[in-house]
Amino acid sequence: MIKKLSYIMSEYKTLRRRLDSNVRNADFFKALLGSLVINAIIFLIPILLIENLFILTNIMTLLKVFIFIIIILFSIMYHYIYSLIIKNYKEEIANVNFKLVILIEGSITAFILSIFALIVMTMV
Amino acid sequence: MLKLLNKYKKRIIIFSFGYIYILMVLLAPSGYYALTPGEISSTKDIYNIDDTVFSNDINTTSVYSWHEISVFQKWIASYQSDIVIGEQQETKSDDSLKSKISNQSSHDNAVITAYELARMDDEKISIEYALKGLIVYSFFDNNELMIGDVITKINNLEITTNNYENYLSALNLYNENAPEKLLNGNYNATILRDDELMTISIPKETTIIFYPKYEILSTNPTYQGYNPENVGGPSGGMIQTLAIYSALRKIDVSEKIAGTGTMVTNNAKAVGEIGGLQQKFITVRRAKVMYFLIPSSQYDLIATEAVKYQNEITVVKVETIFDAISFIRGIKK
Repeated sequence: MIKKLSYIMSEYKTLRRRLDSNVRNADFFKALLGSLVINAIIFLIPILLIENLFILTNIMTLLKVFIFIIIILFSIMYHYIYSLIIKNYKEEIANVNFKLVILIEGSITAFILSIFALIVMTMV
Repeated sequence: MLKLLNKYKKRIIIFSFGYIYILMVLLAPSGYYALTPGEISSTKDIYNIDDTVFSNDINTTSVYSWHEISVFQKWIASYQSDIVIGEQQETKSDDSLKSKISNQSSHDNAVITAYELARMDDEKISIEYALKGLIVYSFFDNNELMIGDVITKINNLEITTNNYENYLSALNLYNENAPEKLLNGNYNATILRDDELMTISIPKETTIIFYPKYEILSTNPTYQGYNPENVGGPSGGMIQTLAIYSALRKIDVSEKIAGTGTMVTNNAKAVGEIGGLQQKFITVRRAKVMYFLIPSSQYDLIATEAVKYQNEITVVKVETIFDAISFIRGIKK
């Protein structure tokens, strides 16, 4: 198990280094903004739909679960689109599979956003 | 990227129309508000009174109020029997201020009434308070008044009584038959606004809905105030009075009780009517409450449901706080 984990981590570091070495600041900002805009377009309607549906008080708990699902999907999708845009600009990494980077960084982002959402939900 | 956009230009344009349409439906305000079933809140942690334990499971009932619902929400609400919608007439800030005024008044009325009633049975319990004025909750046909103004004098007559009915009767302004605390007539009002006193002339066509503003001077046992809640409005008055009274008189009940109705500090100690009773009934039913106390004049609004669910919940009709006290004495341990 530990062996597998350390293998995954070293694989992740290699992929990350490969991605970083090919990305200049301008590409990074283009990919970041592009990913955020595309994600906003994808997730705006589902989020607004959930927010509207809170009027149905008997499904409130279910809607809160949906919010967490959307947070996870958003985080993973953000990293996926980010890598897709980078690949689009850099042909030398176009065939590299960044699945591991997307999953690990997506999970970390999802975790942080979920804690933030949890705090907001307990306050409201 | 641009190549890709050009390739799918037509599809993107068609998709954009659909997307914007859905966004509008989800975002555009409909000009309506909605009331939906809400939650019950225990009275155990609200009041801080020295040497007094709130051990009973007595709960206030609230509904969720949704301001400026979207077109989509209005459409959903029209298919739901447990949601009531109405035209939005006030701004959110006005509504929030009114809710705060009536809630503050409700707490004061509850404390005053509960102490006064408890004093009848136990001489050690006492309360000193003073009527400081009439706080403007709402008004019609007037440009000078503001919500939250405190009328401290009418026609220069000082308030020397704790009973607003007596004060208004002395001025021939008390309307016994009005369903709410209404003020009608031609008079000069001295008002307190932002710590400044001013006198304005109120014409006959102006109608004011007010709440009495009291100051609690001293109490025994000492009342230390209440913890602010995330709810507004006056509808918890009766049940808050009952909770304080039962704690002061050490009346213990084991059943889960909830209730709604305002506490009117008039001579009759009447329980006043409230809004959203159907939604409140659904709320207490979901919360598995055993007894639900409501103003008797509003029973008809939930009569069908009350009969339908009589095995789950007992609806208790009360006209005055005395009815509520008799009920709680009847089920005490």
